[in-house]
Amino acid sequence: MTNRRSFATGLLLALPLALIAAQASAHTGEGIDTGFASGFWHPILGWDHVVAMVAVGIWGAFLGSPAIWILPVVFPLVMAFGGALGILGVPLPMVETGIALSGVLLGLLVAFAVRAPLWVAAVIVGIFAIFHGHAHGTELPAEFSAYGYAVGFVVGTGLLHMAGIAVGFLTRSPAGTIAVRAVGGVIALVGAAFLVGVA
Amino acid sequence: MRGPRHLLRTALPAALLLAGTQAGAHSFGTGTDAFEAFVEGTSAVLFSPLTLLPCLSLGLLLTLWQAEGMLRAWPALFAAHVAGFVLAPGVGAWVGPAMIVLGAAVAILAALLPRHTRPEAVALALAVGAGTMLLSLEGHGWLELSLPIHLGIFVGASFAVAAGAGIGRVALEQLPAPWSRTGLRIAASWLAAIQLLMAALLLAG
Repeated sequence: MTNRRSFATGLLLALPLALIAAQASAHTGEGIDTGFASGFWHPILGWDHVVAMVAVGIWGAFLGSPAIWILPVVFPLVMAFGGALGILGVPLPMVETGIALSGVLLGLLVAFAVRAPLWVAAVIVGIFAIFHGHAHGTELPAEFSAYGYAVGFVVGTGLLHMAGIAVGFLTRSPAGTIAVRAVGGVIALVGAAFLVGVA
Repeated sequence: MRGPRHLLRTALPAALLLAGTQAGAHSFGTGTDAFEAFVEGTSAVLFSPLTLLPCLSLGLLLTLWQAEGMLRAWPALFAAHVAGFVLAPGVGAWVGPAMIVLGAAVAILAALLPRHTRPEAVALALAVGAGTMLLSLEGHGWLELSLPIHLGIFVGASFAVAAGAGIGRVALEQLPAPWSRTGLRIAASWLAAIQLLMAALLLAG
């Protein structure tokens, strides 16, 4: 009886909300939508970016507080600085090598559960963030909304960090720690594949 | 005892009330387009990323300073709005990039500093408040635009900061203490990154 009543309550309360939704003109495929989608998928569809961003989150979880949130805060800030350099046309040598190397090094740091001092971790993550940001900045598509692209790729990058942190929480159990370190090894291998040109 | 029939009597009028998507007759100053002008004024602040993002960043910082930070800083914010209104006729196109750089700086401070002080919060409220009005009224003479537009800009300038502060306060009150502050600082870092990129895009032309 109680379930039927709560179902009826939910149904009746949902009715006004359903009727409010009279228009949905946001998804027109123009302007910021298209730019946002382009920016959002750019880091997520590139495996060299994905493994590095996820590794940042995992390593932060390994290092514990406050690194668990400082690294995901530092990365977008420095990445945006690198992106600004790319947008302004400031050249940066060996960008693709730096991106691939970030996967290798960050993967190894996770695989060997390296507990570096916080400032060392922030510097390592920050240096690699410049390479990732520069690549995003120079690959800005001219036909899309630049503002939407900027919002999209910051959000996409942030969500990859969150995914990494979520994986890193597995380290709270011994079996999970082994699994996470194995993931670190896989990340290092993927980075190496990009580094030597296999991927 | 309130049964489904009582809920039905409540929900159906609510549905009819909320289904009305347009109500053009209820604008103040009917026939003068005053409401449309007011909305245009608020839109100048709320729908422009160059003003909205710095205001949201300030709102987050004020909440990270104190739960009631927006209310405590609002007198300074409003004073800065008035000052910006007075100075707006004299500014040029430089104010756009300057505002987004200022917004990035506010967001970086919100993301990186573990604690905030009253002088810092008030100084940033003064800067962002003045910048919001300077950018929204860039180059327009005093009362060159209609009064409802000015009113809309003033309301929008306070509302944009209040939105950031309100989202922050809800997060602080609803989520566990360490995680809510961490989440707000990560959000601030995202805002900072977006604004840095926008600054670069503006400078690149």
